Amino acid sequence: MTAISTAETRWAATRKANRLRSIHYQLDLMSNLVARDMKLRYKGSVLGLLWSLLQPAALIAVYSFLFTRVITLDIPNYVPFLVAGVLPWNWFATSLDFASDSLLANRELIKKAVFPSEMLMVAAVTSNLLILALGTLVLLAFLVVSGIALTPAALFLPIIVAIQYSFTLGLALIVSMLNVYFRDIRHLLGVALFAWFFLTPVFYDEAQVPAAYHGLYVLNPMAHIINFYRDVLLFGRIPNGLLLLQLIFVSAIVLGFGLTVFRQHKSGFAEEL
Amino acid sequence: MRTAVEAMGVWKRFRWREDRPRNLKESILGLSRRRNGGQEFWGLRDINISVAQGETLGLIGNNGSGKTTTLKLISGLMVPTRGSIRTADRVSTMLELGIGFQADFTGRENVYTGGIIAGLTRKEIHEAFPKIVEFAELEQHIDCPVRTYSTGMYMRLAFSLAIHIDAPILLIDEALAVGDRSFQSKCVDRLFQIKNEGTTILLVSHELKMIESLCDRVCWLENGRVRQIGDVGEIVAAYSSQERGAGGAPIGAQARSANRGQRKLVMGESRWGSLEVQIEAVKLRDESGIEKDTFEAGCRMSIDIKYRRYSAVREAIFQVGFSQENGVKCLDVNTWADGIPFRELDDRGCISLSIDHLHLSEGIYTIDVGVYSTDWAEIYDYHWRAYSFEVFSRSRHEWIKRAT
Repeated sequence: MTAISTAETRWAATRKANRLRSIHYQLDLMSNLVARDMKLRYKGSVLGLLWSLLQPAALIAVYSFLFTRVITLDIPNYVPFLVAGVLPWNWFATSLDFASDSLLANRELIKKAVFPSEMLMVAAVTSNLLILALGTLVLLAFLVVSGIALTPAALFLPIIVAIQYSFTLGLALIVSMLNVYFRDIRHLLGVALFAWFFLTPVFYDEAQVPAAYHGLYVLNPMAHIINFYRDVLLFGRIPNGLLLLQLIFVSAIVLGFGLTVFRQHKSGFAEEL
Repeated sequence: MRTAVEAMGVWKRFRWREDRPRNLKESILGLSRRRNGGQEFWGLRDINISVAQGETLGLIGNNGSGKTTTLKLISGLMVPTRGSIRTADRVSTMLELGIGFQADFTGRENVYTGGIIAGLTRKEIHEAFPKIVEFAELEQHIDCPVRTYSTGMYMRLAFSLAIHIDAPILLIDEALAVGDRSFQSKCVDRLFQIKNEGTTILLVSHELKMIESLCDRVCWLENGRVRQIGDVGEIVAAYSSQERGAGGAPIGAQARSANRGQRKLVMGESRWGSLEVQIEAVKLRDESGIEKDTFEAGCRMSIDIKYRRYSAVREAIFQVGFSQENGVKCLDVNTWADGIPFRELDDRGCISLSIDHLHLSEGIYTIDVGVYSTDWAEIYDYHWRAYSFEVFSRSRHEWIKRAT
C-alpha cells in the first residue's frame, strides 16, 4: 500500500514540475509555429507580407466604388467604415479557412511527433491576427485622412480583439477536428462563410436592415463584434456593457467547447490522418 | 528502483478501411453499413512492460509485431484500446528523422523548429545549438536552406538534432539505421553518453548488434504479444535463430539471410569443372554437430563436403576457401598443401574440414569449395562463393571499439 502511494506522489510531483515548463514550452511552440506560418506563406514572393493586405485592399476598392457610386448606401465616411468591417472579417474568415486545412497540411507532424496539436490552430489564428494588426495601421491612416480622431473608447479595442480571438479559435478547433473525419467540411465551410459574410454588416450598416430581420443579427456574434470595432474606432462610442459581457460569455463558451471536443478527439488524429 | 515507463495490460485495436476519407453524406447514409464494415484486428495484445529509470530496453520482433505501435502508445501519439500506460517523466520520441523540417528553411531555422516539435524549449535548443551543429559537422552551411544540402548533410543534421534532444525518457525507432559507418558509430557513442547520463531509453531496432551493445534488457514482440522479456544475449540469440528458421523474417534480415546458406549453382557463373567428381552438398556444423549458418567467433566449426564420383577418377584434391563480403580471401586450404595423403575416393563419400577456433571478426563470409585432379591440371567441380555463414561475437562492446 505504502509503496503504491509513494509512487503515486512521485508521479504527481514530476507532473507538477513539468507543468511549469510546459507553459513556457507552449509559448515557444506557438511563436515558432506562427513564424513558420508567416515564413512559409511569403517565402520567395517579392511583396511578402504586403500580399496579405492586397486582397482586402482590392475588396475595399471594389466595394467602395460599388456602394458609393453604383448602389449608394449613403454611409458617411464609407471607406473607413468599410475597412473597419473588412479587416476583422478577413481575420475571422482566413483563420477558419487556414485552420480547417491545418491538421491535414501538417499530417506528418501529427502522425510522428508528440506535441499539443491545438497549437496549430492557435498559430493559424495568431498569424492572421498579425495581418490584422498590420491592416489596422492602414485603417489608422484612413482615419487620419478622413479627419476622424481616436477617442478613449479605442481603449476597448484589445477587449474586442480578445473576444474575436477566442470566438475564432473555438470555431477553428471544431472545424479542424471535423475536417479530419469528414473531408468535405472544408468545402462546406467555404459556402457557410460566403453566406455569413453577407449576413454580417461588413459592407453595410446594420441600421439599414429591416426590423423584421433583426433577430438574425442579434444571434450573430460577428455582427456585434464588427459593430463594436466601428463603435470604438470610428464613432468614439463606448460599447454597450451588457452586450459586451454577453459576447465575452459566448466566446468563452465557444472556445471552451472547441478545446474540449478537440482534446477528446485528438488522440485519434494520428490514426485517422 | 524507480519505474519510468509502465504499460499494464495494454491492448490496441486497429481498423482496416478500404477508403479512408469519408464525406458527410456517406457517414449519414452509411451509418449502419459502416458499423459492420471495416475489418478489425488487434495490433497489441496484453502488453505488460515496466522499464526502470535509467534502464535501456530494446524492442525486437518481426515487422508488424507491434514495436512501433508500442512506442507510439508510450509516447502518447495513440491511446490504448484497453489497459493503461504511465510515464514518470517527460517523453521524447524519435519516430523518424527530420520531422518538421522545411526544405526552404535554413539549417538553423530547422533545428529550432524540429527541436520545438520534439519537445524542447527555445532556451534548451539555444543551449544545445552549438553542439548540434558541431556534431553534424555543418558549421559552414548552417545558414543555408536545407534544400541545398546533400542527402548526407541533411541526415547528419537531423541525426544530430535527434540525438541532442535530452528528455528523461527517450523513445527511438530505427532512427540510427542510416548514415555512414563513422557517423553511425559517433551516434552510438552519443547514445552511450545519453544512457550513462541516466536517461531511460526504449530502442526499436533490427540491428541486433546495437541492441546487444546498448540494452540492459530486451523485449521480444511477436504478433502483438510479448514473447519474451529479459536477458539480452539469450533473447537475441533465440530471436536470431528463429528469424532464420521460419519464413517470417524481417525484411532487413531477410535480405541479409539471402546471403547466407546456399546459393543456386549455375555452370559458368558459380560452378566450373568437368563434373567427373561432383560436390553434392556442403554442410556447416557447430561443435555438437548441428547444422548452422551462424557461428560465434572462436568456436568450433566443421565443413562437411559430400561428393559423388561419376567416373574412374581415383584420387582428388579438395580445397576450401573463405572470403569476406568484399571478396578478400581470408582462408584457403587444400588437402594437397596440407600434406594430407590421397585416399581412394568412394563412389559416394564425405570429407570434413574442422576448424577448432573460428577466429574471424564479425561479418558474413562466403565459402568456395573445389575438387581438383592430383596434379591440379583439371577441375572436377568448383563451387564459387556458393555457401555462406555469419560470424558474431558475444563480447558486448567489441564492435563499437573496433568502429571507433
